[in-house]
Parts: sequence; C-alpha cells; structure tokens
Amino acid sequence: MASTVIWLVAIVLEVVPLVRAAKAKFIRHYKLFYSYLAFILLRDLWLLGVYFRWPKFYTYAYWYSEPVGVLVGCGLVWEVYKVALARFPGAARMARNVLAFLFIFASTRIFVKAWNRPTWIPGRTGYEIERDLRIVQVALLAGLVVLFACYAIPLGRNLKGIIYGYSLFLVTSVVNLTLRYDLGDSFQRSWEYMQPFCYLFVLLVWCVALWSYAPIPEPTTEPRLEANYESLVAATKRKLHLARSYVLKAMGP
Amino acid sequence: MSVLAYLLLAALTILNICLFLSGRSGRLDFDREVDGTGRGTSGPFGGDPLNSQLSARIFDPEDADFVATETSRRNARQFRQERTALALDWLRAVRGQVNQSIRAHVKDARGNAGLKPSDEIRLGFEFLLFQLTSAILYVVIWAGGPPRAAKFVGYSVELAGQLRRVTEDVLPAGRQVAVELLGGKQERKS
Repeated sequence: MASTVIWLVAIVLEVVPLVRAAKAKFIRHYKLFYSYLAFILLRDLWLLGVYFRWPKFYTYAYWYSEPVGVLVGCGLVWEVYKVALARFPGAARMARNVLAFLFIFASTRIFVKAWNRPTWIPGRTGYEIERDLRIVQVALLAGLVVLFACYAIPLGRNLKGIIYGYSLFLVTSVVNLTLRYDLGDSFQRSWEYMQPFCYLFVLLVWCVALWSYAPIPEPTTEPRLEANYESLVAATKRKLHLARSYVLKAMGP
Repeated sequence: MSVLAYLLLAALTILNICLFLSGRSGRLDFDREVDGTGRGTSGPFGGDPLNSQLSARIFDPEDADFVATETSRRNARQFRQERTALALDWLRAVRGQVNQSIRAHVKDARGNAGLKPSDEIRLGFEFLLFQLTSAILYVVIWAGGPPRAAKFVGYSVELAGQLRRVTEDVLPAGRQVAVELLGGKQERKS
C-alpha cells in the first residue's frame, strides 16, 4: 500500500514540472531534461500497469527498461554541458577533452571488468551493471561541476536544480545499488523504500527549481575575445613565475 | 572496489556538488572583482606587494637581532609577533595577487575559442604548486617567525640546487649506460 502511494506521488511530481514548463513555454530551453522527465513518467505509468496486471513480469520490465533510462540520462548530462557552456567556447573545449577522458577511463573500467568476469553480462548482475553505468555518469557530471567551478561559469536556478537533483539521484542510486549488491536480499526491504524516497526528494528539488523559467545570468564583464590565447597563457605564466621568484628572493638569505 | 570505496566516492561527489552550488553566489563576484580592486591591492603593502620595499625588510634578521640584543625579552617577543603578523599579511597579499591574475586569465580563457587544454592543465598545475608552496611557507612563518622561515627557504633552495647538480651529474652517465645497453642488445640481435 505504502509503495503504491509513493509511486503515485512520484507520478504526480513528474507531471508537475512538465505541465509548468509546457504552460510557461520554457520546455525548449531544456529539451533533453524534459524528454528525460517524460520518459520516466511514461516508464512509471507502464511499470504501474505491468505491476497490477502482470506482476510476474514486473521485475523483467523494470530491469530491462533501466538501461534505457541510463541512456536517456546521459542526454541530460549532455544538455547541462551544452546549455551552461554555450557562451564560453574556451571552457567548452576544455570540457570536451575532460569529459572524453573521463568517459574513456570510466568505460574502460567496465569493459575490463566484463572481460575478466564472463558472468557479469546481464541477467544475474543487474544491480552491478546499473551501478557501473551510474558511476560513469557520476564521473562525467562531477567532471563538469569541477570545470564549472574552475571557470566560474554562471548557472541559473533551473540549471542548478537540474544538476543538483540529478547528481543526488545518481549518488543515492550508487549507494543503494552498492548496498543491495553487497548485502543481498537482507537489504531488499530497505531498498524498496530507500530508493523511492530518495527519488521523491529529487523530484521535489526539480519541482522547486523548475517551477518557473530562470535564465542563466549574464557575466558582468565581457571577456576580451580579441586577446590571443598564447599571449594570455604566456602573460599568466610570467606573473606566476614572477610571484614565485619574488617570494624566494624576499625570503632568501 | 569495496563497499566503503563506493560510499566514499558517493559522499565526496555530493559534497563537491553541494559546495559548488552553495558557493555560486560568492563566485559570481569573480566577474566584478577581476578588473576592479582585488584583495591583492589592499593591506599594508600599498599598491603592489611584489614591488614593496617593505617585504625584503620583513625577513631580514638584522632588525630582530638588534631588538633582541638592545631591548627586553618581552619587547623582543612582541616585535617577533608583529613581524610574524606582517609577514603573514605580506604572503596573503602575494597570494591574493596571484589569485587575481589567475581569475583574470580564467575569465579571458573561458570565452576564448583558441584555448588549449594542455596549456590550461599545465598552468593549473603551476598554480597548484604555487598555492602548495605558499601554504607551506605560511605554516613555517606562523610557527617559526620570519627569520627562521627565511633560513628554511635558504636551506631548501640550497638543497634543491644540490639535488639538481647531483641529477645533472648522474643523468649523462645514466644516458650513457642506456646507450651502452641498447648497443649491446642490437649487437646480440645481429
């Protein structure tokens, strides 16, 4: 009974931001995020139907639709990158390199694991697969967040909410899946409640953050686009070396 | 990977993201601060701590020695405390100026399509190195006072020079050994 109530509340909380965005016509600003939300809404409705009509197939329906959710979630990470860095081509270039490195690094880990353990392939180890895929997403999102912090990229309330909500979802998923995988069936009962409650919190964050459209704030000073990058780096390096040598000179014997 | 490692990873990620998102409002000032008056320009060092005449004097042991020999121990201790505070302010001002330069660089680089990631990483590494060095110096000044910190720096610079000389002495020999080994292998193959 309780799980059904949680399920229904989740569906309502998925509908609310979609309806708000459609009414206020700001879906086009975050197309991939709303596609993700629409996908999970449809999936929840479909799973609800399966659960009540064909309960035997529910587990299969859940685990076979989960990888699709992970893939659609990758689109959300892509949108965060595209929207936040649209006005900063330099930072976007850096992000592409860092994300490519993190993606290759994290994916290689999964492939090596699969190669070493033939039983790893779907079916028996659904928790582990999903956790590994979620870790790839965590790595990508964390990499992006570090870059945003380094380059002081301004983010609006909407984008902050998307990042905070999705990272919270990913992290709680990794924790829950790890505990479920490690503790086995003894954790199943807790998992059935922990996962939906975390998810409800994420949906609440999204509802609040995306209640209305909040454009990304403009940087107060425009970058000097005419500046040549090489000369920019050379000047900064010179200043750094000057400061270092000055400290040593001032303190030296 | 153990369960603990996964949980730690998750906790660190969420902490990182929370810190970032909660600190955004402060970071937005970054755009205003860069070309205005930053931290480096304030304090007891006037306009530029890097060109201040005062800085060389702070670490000079001459004044401290004079006060120690000519006045009471209490005065000497007070003098040392004041000099330490001044030295720490000076180091903070230098760090502030470096931070300001890096912020100005980042502000310009983020919008520059010609950005080279390798250069950015190298610069970031140099900046981190500077921060680490100045943090160590800060602790040394705070713990031992400016004259001892100056001695420590002098000793470190001397040690680094000696190590470089040793490395330069060893490396050509190392290269020679490598060449000899490679030559030997090729001879055996032929």
